[in-house]
Amino acid sequence: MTRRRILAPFTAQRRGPIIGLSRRSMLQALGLGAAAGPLLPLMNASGQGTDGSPPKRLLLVFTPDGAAALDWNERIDWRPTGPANDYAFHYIHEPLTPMKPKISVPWGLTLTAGGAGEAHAYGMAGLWTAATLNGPSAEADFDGGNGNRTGWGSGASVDQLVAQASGPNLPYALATDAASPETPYRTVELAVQPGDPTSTTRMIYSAPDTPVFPEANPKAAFDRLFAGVVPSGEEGTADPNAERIKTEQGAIVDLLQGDLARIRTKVGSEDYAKLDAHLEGLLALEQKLNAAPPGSGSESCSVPGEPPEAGEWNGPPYDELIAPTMDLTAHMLACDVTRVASLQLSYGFSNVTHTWLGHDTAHHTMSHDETDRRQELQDIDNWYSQQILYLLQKLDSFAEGDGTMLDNTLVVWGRELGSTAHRMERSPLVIAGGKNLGVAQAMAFDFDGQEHAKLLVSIANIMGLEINSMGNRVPDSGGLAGILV
Amino acid sequence: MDEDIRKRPGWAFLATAVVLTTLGCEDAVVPPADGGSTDSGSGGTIATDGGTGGSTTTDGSSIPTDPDELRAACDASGDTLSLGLTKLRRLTKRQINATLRDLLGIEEDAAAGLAPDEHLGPFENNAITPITSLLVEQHQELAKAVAASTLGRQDEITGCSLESEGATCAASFIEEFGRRAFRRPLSAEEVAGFVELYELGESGVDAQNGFRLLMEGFLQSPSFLYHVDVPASGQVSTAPEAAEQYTLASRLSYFLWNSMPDDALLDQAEAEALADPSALEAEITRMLADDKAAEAIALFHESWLEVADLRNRSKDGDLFPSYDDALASAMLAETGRFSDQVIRAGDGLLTTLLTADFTYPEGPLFELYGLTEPAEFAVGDQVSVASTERSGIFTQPAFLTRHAHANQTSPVHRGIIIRENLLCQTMQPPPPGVDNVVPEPNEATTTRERILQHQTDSSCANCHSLIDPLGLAFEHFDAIGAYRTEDGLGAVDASGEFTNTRDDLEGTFTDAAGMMAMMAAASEVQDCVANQWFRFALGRMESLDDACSLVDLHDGFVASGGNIKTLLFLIAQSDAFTHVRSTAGAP
Repeated sequence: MTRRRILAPFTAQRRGPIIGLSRRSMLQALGLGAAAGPLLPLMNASGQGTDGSPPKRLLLVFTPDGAAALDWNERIDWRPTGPANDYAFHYIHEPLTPMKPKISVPWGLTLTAGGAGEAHAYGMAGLWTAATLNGPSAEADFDGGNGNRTGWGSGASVDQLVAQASGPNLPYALATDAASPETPYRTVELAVQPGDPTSTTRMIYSAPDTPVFPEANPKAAFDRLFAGVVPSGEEGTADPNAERIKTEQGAIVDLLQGDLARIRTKVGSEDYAKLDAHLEGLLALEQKLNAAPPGSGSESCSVPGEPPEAGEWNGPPYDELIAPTMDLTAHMLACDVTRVASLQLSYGFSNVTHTWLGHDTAHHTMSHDETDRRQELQDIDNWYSQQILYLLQKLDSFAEGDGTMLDNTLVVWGRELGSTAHRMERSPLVIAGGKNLGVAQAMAFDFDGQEHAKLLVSIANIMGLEINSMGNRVPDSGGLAGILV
Repeated sequence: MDEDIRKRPGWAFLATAVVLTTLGCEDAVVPPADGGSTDSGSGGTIATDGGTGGSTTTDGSSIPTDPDELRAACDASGDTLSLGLTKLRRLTKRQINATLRDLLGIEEDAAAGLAPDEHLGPFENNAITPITSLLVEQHQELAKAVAASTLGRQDEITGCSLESEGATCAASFIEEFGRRAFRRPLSAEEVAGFVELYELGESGVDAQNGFRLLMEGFLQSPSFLYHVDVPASGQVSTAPEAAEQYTLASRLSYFLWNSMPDDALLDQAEAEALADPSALEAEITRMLADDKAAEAIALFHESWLEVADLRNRSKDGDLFPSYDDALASAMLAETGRFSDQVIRAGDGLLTTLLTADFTYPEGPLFELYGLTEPAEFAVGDQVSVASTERSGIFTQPAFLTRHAHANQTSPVHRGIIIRENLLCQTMQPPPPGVDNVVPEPNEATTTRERILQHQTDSSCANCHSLIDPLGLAFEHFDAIGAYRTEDGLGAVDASGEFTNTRDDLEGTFTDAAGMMAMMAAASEVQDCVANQWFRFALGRMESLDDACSLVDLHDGFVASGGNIKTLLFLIAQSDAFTHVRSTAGAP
């Protein structure tokens, strides 16, 4: 077995106030004896190579609702069975089995979420942020579900924090205002039928009260993301007009900036935020022009098949949109269009009716039925696991270094609840990939009762962001001992 | 398509539930007190849920709905003109499509790829959230697509020849086109900037490339994408000022046409004629006579009735085999056509809108109405309906179908729209812990019987006594708006009583027709209708500072006998509409 250069943010060599665990204490935390030592990757700290070695990627994936429950107390126990290092999935995750060597399950975490509205809303707001869902204001006022109104979430999500940072250990070495960015997009947010923007349907935040909206039309995403991609083996087919296009588009952006400046002199300061946001969008467009053509240098970049068009009111059914969107996701990472991404399937409070599973009642409706619908709810989760399997196999199909792209990608699958009865404990989180990033492989952890804010801190740390705290609900939580390495 | 695939998590959906005995309607929120101590409808909500326009916040100042309190608020401001803040807002998707149609003859749904619009109450409006980077990029893509589609037509569009005349043609085109695209004249500096852009595109390629670049530039410009309302002085100030002429022109056209000003209106602005009241009145008359007004009027009613997404609803195929997209489209078209016919071609009265015994159906609706299509029928012909059954716009299938479940009616949904959008009373959401599973219909019970707990359980009744009776009045209409006298094994009982309404709206009714007749004559309904049109026209919620404008509108509307066409004139001539207040002086 070859030694690999592995990132292990929890070694003593790391800087920063991270819990530095000795190898022994880590083994103890895992409940493993010394005999399990060889199974742990070697704890060498090393940065991401600037010599063309594959970049680190982060991919957050969302599916709705929690683990099946009949009521507050009658919830299924989805914990994997068997020994920690040779576990078997529960039925709801069972389809993931073929990829189990690269999947770990942090069972038992309680979602660090709360605030206005009810669980679906504050769960959505807290899932990737560990921050409180704000109450309503003049600027943001949504139905938070079965109760009060809400505003937006009060914290940035871990993907955005990772993408905003720059440095040798992070996905991006260059700062966000770099003249020639490494990728055309710092982050990409994709979704399948995410609903209209409210606190219950948006989970990504670039800052407090600042949601980031996903693209829900796969065809539009495809056109946008793969426009300048140069697939492997086709270097030299780059658009000869690229320079001219750059000059023309740059001239347009300059003109538009002048227009914004003029408008600014004519409106009240209450509207400046809108103009600033527009300017930010224009600058991002301009910067994209100066990115290196995506795909260049990557050994496995190829353009996916053209996906279907899905409009606001029409398009293929939900289940038929998922695979094409996942193809987009995998290819865009392989082609280095971005290194930080999220994929949202439906939304908190999902009312998808899974007719293809023989259901005639919507997901969320079933979750609050007074009759026992746990079997159907588990069938839904089982079906979602089939979708996630597809995604992971896709990510694993791109060769990278002496492994695959999945080895350089941390995938985190999360949901906005713990159980369908609105408990937040034992949220069915799953992590996959990231072998070269120091992520434990094929392990089932018992983290019962621990705050999932710790997982978010660990995600950040794995990606090279040295923080000890995520969000504002359980600040300074530190990371999750054992999830790495 | 699945029911409610795009359903926003809405309390209206939740509110359809029978409360489970295990949970009950605990800690029900106390409903608004009699009169007007609540906000009159929605604050600046973003994408409100599908059933209501209710929220608890406005842009700061809570405005009284009680007429005496409103008058007092106006008197308190003395002789000083006061009005709410003007907001910078982005064109909606529909406005972009209509503007592209009028600007360039584009007929396609060009804006389809843009992110969804926000809402202000029930109306499409992008006044609150700043634009996102994704949307900026989507606008770029839109501009490129439209620009590409104009190639080959550049001589027709420019009216001269870029090929042979070069920069001269470009400059004159930029000035003329820019005035229309930006809805105001371009400054010399702006013209020069676009000429430079043209020359950049033309050099080394050809005139066509220069033209394409111009189109891309114009269609992404903030001056195209935003409604930028400025005062005549050009100075930002905390005091209200007369709107700049082009601002007034644009406000008029997006109010009455939901699209850009035409050349005639722009010329009026250029001549500063709109400052003259009789010239303004003449313009409003002209604009209402233009068929483009039909779209705006239809849009208002679609939004007010919250039926815009009707075609996304699915119905139980076994119970309603005739329901398909063609029928749903016909329903939407009928309601839009009816509202336009009543207001522009008919007597314009609110009473007629709410109680008419005629409609303007098409195709599959005849069967639904139980009528035979007349031999020489053409779409747009007026058709009588049984006055014992139907009574105006709320008894047309669009409203009834949208606010019903796949397999049964929803008195709660229907009642909420009446309470919130027709009476402008905000309802609070259900309390936490209330479950929301709608009881399945069965032959042995009527809908009224199945939701009886809403009335008998005192903690539910606080709110549901205000909602359910208004919705149960529509029980003669099933989930696709067809008339019925039986519901399951029982006879339909559509009777009810008004509660928590002003003194001139009291008493009982036996069905929707009776209810509507009473509501059409009620001052509370008239004031609410005036407020809704105010929001639609101004693109903002009314605030305390608008008290005097609102008093004038309410009084004028009543004095006209409830004439909506007159109301539109009153709004367009009001101080609120013809003035701008740029800032509150925030640092």
